[in-house]
Amino acid sequence: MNGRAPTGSEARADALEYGTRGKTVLAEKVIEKIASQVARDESTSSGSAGGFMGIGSHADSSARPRTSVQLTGNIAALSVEVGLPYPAPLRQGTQFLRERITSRVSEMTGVEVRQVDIRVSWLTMAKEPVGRRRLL
Amino acid sequence: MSLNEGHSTPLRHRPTRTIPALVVGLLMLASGVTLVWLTIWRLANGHWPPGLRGMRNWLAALDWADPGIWMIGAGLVMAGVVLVLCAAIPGGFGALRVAGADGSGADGMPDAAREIVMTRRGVAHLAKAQCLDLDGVGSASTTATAKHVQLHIRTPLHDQGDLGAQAAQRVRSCLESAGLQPVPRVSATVTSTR
Amino acid sequence: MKRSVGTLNRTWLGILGFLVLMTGSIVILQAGGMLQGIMNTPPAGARVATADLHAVFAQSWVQAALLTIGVIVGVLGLLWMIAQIPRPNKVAAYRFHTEESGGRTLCDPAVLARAVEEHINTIPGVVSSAAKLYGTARSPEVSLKATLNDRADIQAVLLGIQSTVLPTLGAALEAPVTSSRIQIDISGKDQFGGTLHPSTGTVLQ
Repeated sequence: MNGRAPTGSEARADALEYGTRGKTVLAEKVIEKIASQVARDESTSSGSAGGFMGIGSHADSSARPRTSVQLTGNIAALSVEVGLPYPAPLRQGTQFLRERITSRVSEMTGVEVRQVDIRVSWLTMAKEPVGRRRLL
Repeated sequence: MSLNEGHSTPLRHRPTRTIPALVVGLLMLASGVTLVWLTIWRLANGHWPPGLRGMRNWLAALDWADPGIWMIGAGLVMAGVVLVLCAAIPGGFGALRVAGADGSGADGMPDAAREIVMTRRGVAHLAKAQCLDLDGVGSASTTATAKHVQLHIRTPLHDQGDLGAQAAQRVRSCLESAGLQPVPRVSATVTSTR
Repeated sequence: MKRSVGTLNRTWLGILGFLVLMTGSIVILQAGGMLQGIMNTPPAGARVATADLHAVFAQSWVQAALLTIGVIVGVLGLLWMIAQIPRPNKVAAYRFHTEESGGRTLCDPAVLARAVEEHINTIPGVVSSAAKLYGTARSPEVSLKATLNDRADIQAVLLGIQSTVLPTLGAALEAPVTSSRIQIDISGKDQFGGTLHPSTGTVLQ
């Protein structure tokens, strides 16, 4: 940084130099994994486990929700299949999840997330709060 | 497409007359198929099936005062009466209405939007369980309609005393506390097993 | 669904019954010679078939008419029988999104129904339950079938459903339940599962 704007010949040289460094391809799978990880870690949603070809699977709070992505250039459209706790408000819960996925995926990958479709496929009854331990 | 598509349907309804409808539908189908088959036979072979010859001869010789005509008329009248009765008799409800619990307004729902019913089988089972709890009852069977619960009690007791009345009273109060509205009439018959 | 089939059956049974009854009455009146005085029909002793039946049924238009009648009667009978088959009352997935949501949010009513069943099954005295949700996410309708133990307090179960289960569903949907239908059945079976109590323990200092 010498404080002056690059001249035309310098800019061309830079472009040539960048061109020789190769290119970065962001696979759709990467975005899918990031989105499902964000959904599991940063919201109350969960995924499913077990079963064969989707038959007989059951809700598992430690599993990542199933996610699929359609990447067109730098714009992504995601679909997430999640389980949520019952009776948490579904509208609020899914909207929060959508906002988290949108912002975190954009932050981590630089991809613009245009839409996140959410399908709530199971609801798990919230467990009773564990009673306080008695101190003697 | 049903008018109720996407909406809940009432739980308490009268019989739908499925069996008479199926019987008549089947008869219509059989008649139609027979008629079509006979006509196709006639078109294909140029003459009616030989089996119809006897019927044609019988019809040709028949006069209006023949006993066969009387029997056909009487049969049609009877079938017509049966069909009209099937359509006209409303039939009993399949379930009994139950009043909501005290404080049920907590859900903020208007009463018209709330329906609670108990199945007739459920009422019969409840009545039977109440009878079997009573001392002196060997076995019991119950039948329930929307208006009447009938208890059939068998007891090993020599002196049945007021066992039937006791059982009926017990069942009545149970149905009252269950919230049935109106409470069906309860009657009991007691038979000694000795 | 059931109601509309009931109305259809009653209507057609009534119409056919009336037609058959009228036909039978006319045949009896004619056979008894009573119709002759009223409508100038042939006397009771006259032949039923006045023309040559062989010639009548040999005409092509008679055959065409019989074929048409046979097809119509057969098809009507078949359609009536098909109408008796119960069809599922399909409900579309509940939609929770708006224009500004940034994506669709869907939930199958069966998913919510399973949660409602699970909730009902925790009420003392409930042996099993089946729930079905209708309507929309903003105007949900619930139809429940609860099978209770024969020693259960029915009113307490109903209170539990009406004051806890339905409001909980309303809270999850963020919209009150607009219609509820509850069917109670009684069974001799005991409630399955029991209740889980978290172990708290005692910490000695």
